[in-house]
Amino acid sequence: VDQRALVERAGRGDHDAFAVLVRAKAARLDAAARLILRDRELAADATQDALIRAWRNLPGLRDPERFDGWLHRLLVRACIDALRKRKARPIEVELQPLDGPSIGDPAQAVVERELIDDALRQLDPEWRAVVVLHYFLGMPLPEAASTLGIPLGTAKSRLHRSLGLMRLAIADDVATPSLAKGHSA
Amino acid sequence: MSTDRLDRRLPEVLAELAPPVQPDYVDDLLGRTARMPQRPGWTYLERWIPVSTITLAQPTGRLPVRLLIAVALILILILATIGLYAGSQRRLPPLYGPAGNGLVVTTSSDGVITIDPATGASTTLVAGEDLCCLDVAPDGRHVAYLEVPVDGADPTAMGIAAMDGSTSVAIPDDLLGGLDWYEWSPAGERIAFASAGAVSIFDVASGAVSAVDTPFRAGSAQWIGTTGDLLATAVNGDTTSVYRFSPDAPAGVSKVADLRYVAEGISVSPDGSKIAYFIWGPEERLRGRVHVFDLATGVDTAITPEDEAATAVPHEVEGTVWSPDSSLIAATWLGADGDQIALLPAAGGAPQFVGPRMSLAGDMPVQFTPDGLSLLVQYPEGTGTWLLPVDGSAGRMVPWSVASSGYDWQRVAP
Repeated sequence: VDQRALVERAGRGDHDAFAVLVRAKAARLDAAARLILRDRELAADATQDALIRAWRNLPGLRDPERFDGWLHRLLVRACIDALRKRKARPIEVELQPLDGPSIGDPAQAVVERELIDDALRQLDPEWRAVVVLHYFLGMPLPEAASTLGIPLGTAKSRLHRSLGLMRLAIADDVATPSLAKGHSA
Repeated sequence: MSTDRLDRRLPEVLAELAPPVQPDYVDDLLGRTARMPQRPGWTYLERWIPVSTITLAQPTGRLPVRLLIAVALILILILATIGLYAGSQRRLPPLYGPAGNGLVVTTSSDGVITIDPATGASTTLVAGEDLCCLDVAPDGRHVAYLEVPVDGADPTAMGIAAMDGSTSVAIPDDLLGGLDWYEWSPAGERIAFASAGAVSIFDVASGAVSAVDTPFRAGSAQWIGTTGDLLATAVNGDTTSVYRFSPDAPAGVSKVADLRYVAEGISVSPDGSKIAYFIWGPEERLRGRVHVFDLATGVDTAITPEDEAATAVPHEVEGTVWSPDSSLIAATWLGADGDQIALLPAAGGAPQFVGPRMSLAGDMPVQFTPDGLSLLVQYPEGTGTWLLPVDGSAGRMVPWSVASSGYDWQRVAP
């Protein structure tokens, strides 16, 4: 069954169709939320909140073809809401990969991953959302901008500045002995 | 790590940092949604009721015309007396150009507040939660604000408050759906709206709303100086079209320009002679340049450099904020070694940098003071609110702060 048909059925109240959609999307949504929020519990809350909003509001989705973008927008809003509700600074937790792909020099790959992870943490969550939508969910920038409800230029600006800040952070980390680094918990 | 390597490695590193694993709460979640009713389709009014029907005026019964005329005459007399009194009490600032510095208006958890910039003393003007996106009328007499409970969603309410706290007016809800832009006219008697692609004019005194029929979907509507004309933009693919028209005679819409790529931060100079904008070029470049477009001659000039050799040491620019005298544009200059506020001469020439250079992890709103002598800059959280003189002399951090989601500075008579 194609996704469009599932979305149309779910929009008419077919919960089985909605369950198929959720099982197909939940893992990737949860991973995107973890990247944006850097907090496993908050990410789980945000993903569930987004999926509940999706079920509640599916009858209002005019174009089933836009389901993915709509769902991602609900997720990003749920992530921002989760941060706002929490008020206090989110707890930064280490996200351990299960299995990394094999790369020519494993040691260098691990170092690079840590550098990028550290740099990513330093970004504002709304900026991190652009990076995640573009590089993790593979959205073209115009679609990412639409998903976030921001102008295309703002999305480009945030992505450009995020990458610039990450490069700076990585350069700083490389210049600083690794023992000086640490994660707040 | 090189630029190219970071770009290449990011997708796989992100996948490694957060591998997609089926969450263990999915069954529980589906159990909850199975018991949860969906919002019925018929509650989405816009799906089946034409907007024109929603906004139809309700018919009223016959009114006592003579009585109304008499009441209106008395009201006019009272208002004229009040107007004369008020006029004798306070002069208004010029319609555009440098003015005196009045109160700073911003939002806090209390609502809309005013701050005396000299003492830092604050006063709550409008109490309420989730208020943001302020705009003080150019005549300094009113401030408009939005209520936005959910970031990125449409506002749920909009109001206008007198700066002396004496009155407040609610804006009709039908202007708020899909609201992209609102802007006071220079004399502060009207507000232009761009909502869901349509342009409307709200008359502050009467509360009347008039729709302007335009042959394009407008993303913004800005007043062009004191001409009474509006400048609107519409994005078509990778081109931004700019139109000019009178809201009172929209049949005379003229296209001013087609700007390449997606132009951002389009703003009309206070004297109405030019527009400034910046372009983030083709997607693979991610490079911003500021342009100035002369509305009289149609000449478009890029006033910041495009340096092909700057890939390793990029200098990009974003944002366009005009100085009150229309001679300078303040922008954020993004450099490889940090970001800084730049003052760009509108006529072209070398930028002048003000304030510290720093690596910013958030947006950096900037605004000229009404007298044009300084910039008010809200650096990201923890680094404070600064007043930076445009002559390049040392700035100072002020002992008060403004919300990055919205602030404005009241213009008063010099």
